[in-house]
Amino acid sequence: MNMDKLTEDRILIRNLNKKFVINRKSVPVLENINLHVEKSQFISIIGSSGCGKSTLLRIIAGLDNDYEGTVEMDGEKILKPSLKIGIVFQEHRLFPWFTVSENISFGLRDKSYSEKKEIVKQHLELVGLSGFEDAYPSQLSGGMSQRVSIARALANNPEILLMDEPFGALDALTRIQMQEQCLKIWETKKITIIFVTHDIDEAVYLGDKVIVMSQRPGRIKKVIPIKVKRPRDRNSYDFLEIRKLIYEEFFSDQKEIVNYVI
Amino acid sequence: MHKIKDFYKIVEYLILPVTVLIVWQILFKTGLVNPILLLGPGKVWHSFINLIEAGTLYKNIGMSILRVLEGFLIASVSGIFLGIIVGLSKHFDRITNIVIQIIRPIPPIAWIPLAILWFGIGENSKIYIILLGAFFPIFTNVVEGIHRVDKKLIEVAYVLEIPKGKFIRKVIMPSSLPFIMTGIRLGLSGAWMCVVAAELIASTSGVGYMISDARQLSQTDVVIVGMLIIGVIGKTMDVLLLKLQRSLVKW
Repeated sequence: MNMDKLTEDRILIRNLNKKFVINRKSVPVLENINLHVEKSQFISIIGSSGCGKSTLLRIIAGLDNDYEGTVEMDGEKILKPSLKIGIVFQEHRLFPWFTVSENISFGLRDKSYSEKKEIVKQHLELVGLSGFEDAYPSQLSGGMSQRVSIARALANNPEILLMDEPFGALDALTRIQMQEQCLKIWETKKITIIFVTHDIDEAVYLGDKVIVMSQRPGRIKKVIPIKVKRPRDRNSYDFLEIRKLIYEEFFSDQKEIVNYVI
Repeated sequence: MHKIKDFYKIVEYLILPVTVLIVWQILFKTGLVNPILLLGPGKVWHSFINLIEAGTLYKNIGMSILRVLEGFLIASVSGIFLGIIVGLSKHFDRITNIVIQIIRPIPPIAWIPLAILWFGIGENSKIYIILLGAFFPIFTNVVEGIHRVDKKLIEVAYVLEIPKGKFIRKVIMPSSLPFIMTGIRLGLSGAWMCVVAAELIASTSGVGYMISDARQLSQTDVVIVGMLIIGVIGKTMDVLLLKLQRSLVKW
């Protein structure tokens, strides 16, 4: 046990490096990632496509063990997926042969029929889909399916929720609604959330801090704490200032590329 | 408006069969075709009625259907069971691979001599041939269905720490069901097509027997009746299974 830690670290990543081997050439995907996430924090990770942010999330989820470095949860190495870490993917990945209710209760263990029913009901309420217990995924819209997917991940009461660009496939208006829902869930369940996105507004609006990743190989360029009080106004001065900061991180990245071309 | 569209659709369905019947009748009436080779539709129809009235048609159809069902049922149970094992286990896949790849292309008909040696000329040899006709389509489709389960859904089950039994029953099986149903339909049709070959093995009943017996007596009309019956029953079985598939696979 580390006695020198003053804050409770839920997730601790040290010197994480990962390579893919493509056509016998080794391509670095993640380089020297050092990251710590405290209890009940909401962390946004932002980066452009291909920077390895999804890979990073999968490693934290326990879906990928092929890396160098340490990835720990509560002091223990994460070797495989567990119910303590919930994950919401980019696609809803609902089982089409199950109803909404059956999908949500699928991972529940050692619960009676009425307990399961209650949990499903609570979580449908949480994501704003009360009454849809008996619907099939094919009858739902994209946004609704994704909300069911979130309910399914939360039904098992994970301590950490990983979200991999969960609202990427949704239209802009639905996305804003889902962001609100997300914050509501976070505040209600007091859960730790790691949220990956390529949308700067989303990252700033949601996170306690924003982790900016560089292009491949993915490195952590900057960690920007968002000290703006909630509920945040997307048009407030503070918000726009931080947004600008992050934009510049990406622009400077591109400026470097232009120099190399010349 | 719809009624007119439906009418035209029905016309399109019927135009070819009716034309065939008319051409057939013309060929027969004008004596262009040797009556031994091909009798006219009228004669075929008469034979059909006669066979029904004599009760022989029902008996033969019944016997054939019984045999097909027996062979098909054994093939289904074994095909699905073995298919699941091979589909889920890479070890079993590799172990059984060569034997299956060699046996599968052998047409059931080629098995007849061996079947007679092993099972005699009773029911068992016929059922064996029918079994072979049904087994491989079922087995292959079950394996394929299991291999094609969406990996993204498998990952979700992994993340939710779903125990193996539940995973197979509630993720793999429902997901492979469309393929399994296709395999079953192909299997039944394969079984039905083998019925003539199987009934060549010294049979005294069945539609296949009816055809080969009539052939020896140059009763072409009976042969044609038999062939058409086989076609109609085969199609009916397929339609029934398709309905079953639609009601099981609702997604």
